[in-house]
Amino acid sequence: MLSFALKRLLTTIPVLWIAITACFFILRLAPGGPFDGERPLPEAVKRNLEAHYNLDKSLIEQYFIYLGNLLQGDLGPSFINQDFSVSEQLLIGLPYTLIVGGLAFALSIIVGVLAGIAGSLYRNRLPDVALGAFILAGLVIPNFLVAPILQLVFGLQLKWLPVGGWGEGAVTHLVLPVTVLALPHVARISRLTRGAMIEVMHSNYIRTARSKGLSDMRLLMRHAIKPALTPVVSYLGPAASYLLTGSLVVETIFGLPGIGRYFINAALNRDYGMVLGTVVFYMLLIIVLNLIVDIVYAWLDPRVRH
Amino acid sequence: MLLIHGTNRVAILNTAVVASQNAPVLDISNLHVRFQSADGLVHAVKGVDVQLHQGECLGVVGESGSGKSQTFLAAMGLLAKNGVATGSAMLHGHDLLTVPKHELNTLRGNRIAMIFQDPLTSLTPHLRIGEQMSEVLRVHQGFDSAKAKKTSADWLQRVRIPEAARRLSQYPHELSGGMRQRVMIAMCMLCQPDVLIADEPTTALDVTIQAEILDLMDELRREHKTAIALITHDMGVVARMCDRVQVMRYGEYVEAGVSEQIFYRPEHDYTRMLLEAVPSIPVFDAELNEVASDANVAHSGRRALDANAPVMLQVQDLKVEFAVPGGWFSAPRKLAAVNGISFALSEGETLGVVGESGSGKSTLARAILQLVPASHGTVSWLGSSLGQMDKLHMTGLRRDLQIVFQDPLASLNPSMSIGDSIMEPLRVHEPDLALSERTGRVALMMHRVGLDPTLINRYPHELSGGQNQRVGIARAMILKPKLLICDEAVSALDVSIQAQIIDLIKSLQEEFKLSLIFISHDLSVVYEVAHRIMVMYLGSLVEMAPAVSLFARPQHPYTRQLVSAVPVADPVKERSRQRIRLIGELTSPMDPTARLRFLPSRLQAGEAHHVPAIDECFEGHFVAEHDALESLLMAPSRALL
Amino acid sequence: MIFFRARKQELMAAAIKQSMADAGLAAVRAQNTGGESSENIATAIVGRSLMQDARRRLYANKAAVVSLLVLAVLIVVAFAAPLFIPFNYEDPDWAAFRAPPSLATGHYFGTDQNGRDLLARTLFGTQVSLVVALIATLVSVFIGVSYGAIAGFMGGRIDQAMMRFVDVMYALPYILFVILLMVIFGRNVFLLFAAIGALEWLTMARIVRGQTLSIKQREYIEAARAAGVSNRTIIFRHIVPNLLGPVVIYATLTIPEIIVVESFLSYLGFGIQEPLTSLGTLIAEGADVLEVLPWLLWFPASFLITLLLSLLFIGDGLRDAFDTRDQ
Repeated sequence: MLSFALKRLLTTIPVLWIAITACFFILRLAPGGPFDGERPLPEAVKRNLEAHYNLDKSLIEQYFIYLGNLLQGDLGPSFINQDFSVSEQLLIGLPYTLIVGGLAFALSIIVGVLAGIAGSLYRNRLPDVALGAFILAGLVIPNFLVAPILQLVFGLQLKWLPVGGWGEGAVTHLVLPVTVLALPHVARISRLTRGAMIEVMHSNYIRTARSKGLSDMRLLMRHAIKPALTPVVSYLGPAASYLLTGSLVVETIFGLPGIGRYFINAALNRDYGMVLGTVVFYMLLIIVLNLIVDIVYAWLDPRVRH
Repeated sequence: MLLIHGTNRVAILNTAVVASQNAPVLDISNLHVRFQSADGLVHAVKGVDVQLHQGECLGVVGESGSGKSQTFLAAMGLLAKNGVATGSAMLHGHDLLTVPKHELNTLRGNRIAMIFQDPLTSLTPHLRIGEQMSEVLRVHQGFDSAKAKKTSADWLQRVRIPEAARRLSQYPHELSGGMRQRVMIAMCMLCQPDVLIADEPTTALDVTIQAEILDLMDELRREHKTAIALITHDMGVVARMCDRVQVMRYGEYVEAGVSEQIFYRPEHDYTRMLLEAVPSIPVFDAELNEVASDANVAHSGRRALDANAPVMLQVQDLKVEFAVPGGWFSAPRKLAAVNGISFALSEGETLGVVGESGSGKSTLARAILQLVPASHGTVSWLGSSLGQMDKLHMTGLRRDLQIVFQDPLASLNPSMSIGDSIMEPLRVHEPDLALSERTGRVALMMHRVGLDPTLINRYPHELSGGQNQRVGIARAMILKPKLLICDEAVSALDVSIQAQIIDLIKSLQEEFKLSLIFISHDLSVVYEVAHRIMVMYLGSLVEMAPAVSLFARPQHPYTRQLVSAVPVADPVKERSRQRIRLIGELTSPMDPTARLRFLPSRLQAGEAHHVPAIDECFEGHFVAEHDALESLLMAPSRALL
Repeated sequence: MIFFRARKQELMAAAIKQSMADAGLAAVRAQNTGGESSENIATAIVGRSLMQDARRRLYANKAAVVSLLVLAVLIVVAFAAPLFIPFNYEDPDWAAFRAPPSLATGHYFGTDQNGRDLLARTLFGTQVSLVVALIATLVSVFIGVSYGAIAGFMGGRIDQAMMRFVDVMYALPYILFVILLMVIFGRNVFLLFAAIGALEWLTMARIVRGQTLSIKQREYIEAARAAGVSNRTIIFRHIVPNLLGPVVIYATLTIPEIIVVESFLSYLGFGIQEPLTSLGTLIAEGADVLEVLPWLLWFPASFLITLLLSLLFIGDGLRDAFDTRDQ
C-alpha cells in the first residue's frame, strides 16, 4: 500500500514540475514588467525594486531561485501588496477556503451518495424522478446564477439567512456559500452513484450474493456499496479542483475572505507574483488531495493495488 | 411416472435406477417464466415440471435460449426485474415462488444453492474469500467468526484447494478460474444443502480442470446425498454425471428419461439431432501400443489423404516472444507464447491444433499468417519464406492464406454491411473488378456457404451467430485461398450450428483442395475434422500424430491426461473410463522451467535449460521427451462408479 | 447520400440476379424460399446500419427531439432576429433607461442602466456564447482525438505515460490557467477560444483512446490485415467509422460545458469584455441589480439554461441511441 502511494507520488512530481515551469515562463513572457505602471517610477527606484525581486538576473537564474524558494515553502513576493509575501497572504486566506470547501466537499459526498442509492433503489419511481429533475437542475444551472437567486430569496425576501460576509464563522453565514458550492457536485455524485449502483446490482456477484440468502440490507452494505463507490471516488479528484474553482465565485459573491477572492483581486490587479503563487499553491493542494483519493480508491478496489 | 408438459406430452416410464420411492426434495411444477421486454412479452419457460430426488444428478440439456437457466433462476428467486414466474417450486413444504423474501432467504444458500457459469465474475471482487464464505455460515447457522472461519477452511480443503487457510485471506482476483469455481462449490456446500443447482459450471474452464470440478461434484453428491441439477449444453458432461436427463427447447421439455434411455434410445427428433451433432473422440478399450494397422489408423470417417499431395506449408522451429512489461524500473521480461514449433502441411490436409488456454495455439496461427512477428524460425509457403518477403509480395500472397476467427460478431466490422465485409478481400486483390461483378462473386459465395444472398446489405448485428460465422467463412473463401486457418471457429456456437459449420468447412476443403489448420480447445471437434493432431502445452509441441493414432495410443502424459479428461457422450463408456490426473497445476509460461513440467528428472539433475527432444515413436507419431507417466501421477486414479 | 445508397442497392440487386442466373441458381433459390420469385431481391435486401438504428432510436426519444427543435429555433433566432429589431446591442435608447419589459416601447426584454435594449444584447450574447463554444469544441475535439488516438495506437508504455499525464491534468484546476493566460495576455477573445479548447480535451482524449484500444484489438482488424488490406484503409474503413459515434456524442456534451466555462470566466471579468457581451457577462450584470431590475438577470439566465438543457438532452439522447449494451 505504501509503495503504491509512493509510486503515485513519484508520477505526479514531473507533472507538477512541468506545470510550475510552464506557469513561470508564461508569466515572464507577459508584455511589460510588473513595475511598468501608468506612472513611470524613477529609474533608481525601479532598479532597486528589480534587484530586490531578482529581476535583474538572467531568466534561468530567476527560475532556479524561484524553484529553490518554492522548496522552502516560499511562493515569492506579491508585486502589489508589498507588506506581505504570497505565502503569508495565502496562509491568512486558507482557513476560510478550507472550511467552506471542506464542508461543501463532505456535503456533496454524503448527500450525493445517499441520493444516488435512493435513486437506484427506487429506480423510475417517484423519488428517482424527483431526483432526476434535481440532478438536471444542478448540472445545468451554474453556481454564479444559483448564488444571487438564493441570496435574493433567502437573504433579501425571506430574511432567513445573511446575504454574505464571514460573520465570525457563524453557521448561518456558512449555509448559503456551502450549499451553492456543493450543489453541482451533489448532482454529479448522485448521478454517478445511481448509475454505478444499477450496474453493480445487475452484476454476477450480486446474483451470487442473493443466491446465498443474504438480506437486502446486507447485500447492499457489504457487497454493493463499495464497488458502486469506485466511480464516485475517482470523481473526487476532479471534484476537488472544481470546488476550488467554484470557491472563486462563491467567495466573491458572498464576500468571504478566502484565497479565492485574493486570487481574483490579484488577477484583476495584475499582481503577477500573487497569481503565480496562488496557482502553484492550488496545484500542490490538489495533488495532495488526489493522492488521498488514489489511496482510498486502492482501498476500495483490491485489484488496483497490483 | 413423470408427466412432461410440452407440445408432445411424452410420458416416460421411469422405474429403474432413480430413487423415486421417496418424495422429491425439489418439486417444480407447471413453471412459466415471462419477460416484459421492449418487443412485448417473451414467454421464456412454458410450463415445465422438474422433480429432483435426494442424491441424484439431473441433467438439463438445451441450446442457448432454451430457457434452461431461467427455470432454475426462477426457482432461486433470481429472475431479472422484468421477469415473472408462475406455477410452483416446492422445497421442504415451501413454495419458493411465493414465500415472502425473508423466508426465501432462510432457504437459499442454506437448503438450496447455486453455482454459476462464469467463475471470474461470480465472486464479489472487494471481499476476501474467507469473508464471503463465512457470511453464509453466520447468516444461516449463526456461527461465530472463528467457527465460521474454521468450517470454511475445512471446506476449501475438501474441494482440494491447496493452502486452504491462506486462501481465506486472499481476494478472488488472486485465484485462477478453476480455483474460483472450487471456492464457489465450497461456498455452496457450507450448509450442506439438499439441492445444488449448477448452471454450466465448467463451460468457461479448460477440459482438465472441468474434469476435476465434475469429479468433485460427483463426490459431493455421493457423500452428502445432495441432489444436483446440472444445466449444460455438453452431452459429454451429461453422460459422465447424470442419472436422468431432461432435454429442453424453446422453453419446453421435449424429452425426459434416465440417461441410458436418452443416449441409446432417444425418442424425440430434437434429442436425436443433438446427439448426432455432438462430436466425440473415439474410445479404445485397451491401449494399442503395438503398431496399429494402417486401416485402423486411417479409419475415422474423414476423407482419405492423397499420399503424394505436395507440401504447401513448412514451419520450422517457430518462436514468438512477447515482451511483458516489468515494473517501472525493471527491464521487460520475455514470454515465449510459441516456443519452437515445427511441422509441415500438405495440400488438402487438415492439421488439428489442440491445447488449453495459454498454450499459444492462437499465436501460432497469427505467426503463420505474419500477423505477429516471429522472433525465430521460418514459415515457408510453397518453398518461399514468408518472413523475408517484402510487403508487396506478402500482400499478394495473402490471397492464398486466410483465417476464420472465434467470435463471429467481433470479427466483423459493425459499421459495414456483410456484403462489404465479404467483398473487402476482392477490393484488395482484384481491384479492377466492376462493382456488379464483385457483387456477383459475393452473392455466389454467400450462396455457397449457405447464406441467402438477399442478406447482402444486412449488418452483422442483424444476424445470428451462426450466420455471422458463415459470413466470416465467406470472406475467407472469396479469394479461393489454398490455406485456411480456423481459430476456434466453432467454439462460440451451439452444438447444432457447430455441426453445420464443421460440415461446411469440410465440404469447402473438398471443393477447393484446401489445406486446413483447425485450432480448438475441444479435442472432440478437432478429431471430427483433422487428419493429424498437434497437442500444444505452454507454447511447445508435446505430441503430434495421425488423429486415430493419437487417441489409440497417446504417449505423452499431458496428452493422456487431456484425452482422459474429455467427456464422451456415451454414459456406459464414459463412466468406465479411467481418468489420469497429473501432479501440479498449469505452470506460468513466464516460468523458465515450465516446459520441464513433464521432465522433473532433468530439473532435479539441474538441467533447467534442457529442451525436450521430439522423437518419432511410430510412423508419423511424434512425442516430446518426458518422464514415465507413473512418476507424474497425482494419486491412484479412481474409476468412476 | 440516401439516394446514393438506394442506387447502389439497386445495382447490387441486379448483379445478384444476374450472377445467380448465370450460375443457374435462380431456380434453386426459388425452391429454397418456397417459390418466392427472385424479383423480391430488390426489396428484400435493405439492411439497417448501426447509424440508422441509432438515428431511429434518437428520433424515438422525445426529450432529444424536442431539444433538437428548441436548439434549432434558438440558433435561428439568435442569428436572424437581430436583423429585425430596431435596436442594437451597444447603442443606448435615450428615451428608455432601466425600462422594464414592455410590448408598447418595443423593448420586449426591457433595457439596462445604460438604456441598451436587453433583447438585442441577449441575442448577441447568445451568438457569442455559441460561437465561442463551437470554436473551442472544435479545438478540444481536434486535440483530444489526436492525443487519444495516438495513445491508443501506440499502446504500451507510451500510452501509459500519456494517460497518466491526462490523469494528473484532470485534477488540476485548469480554469486558473485560463485566468492566468487572460491576465497575462490581455482579454483577447481568440485566445479565450483557444485556451478553453486547449484545456477541455482531456475527457475526449480518454474516450478516444479507450475506443481505439478496443477497436484495435477487435478481430475484424486482424481479419482485414489477413486479407492484405493496407494500414491506411484499415484506419479509414475500419477504425475511424467506429470512432465516430463516441466522438460525436462527447463533442455534443462538451459544448454546454464550454458555454458554462465561458460564462463563468465572463462573470468573473476575465472573459468577454465590453462593448462585446456574452450570456455570462449579462448574467453578471443582472445579478448585481437583481432586486431592482430583475429582468436583467431572468432573460439571459433563461436563454442560458434553455441552451444548456437542450444540449444536455441531445447529448444524453445520442449516448442512449448509440449505446448497444442494452439491446
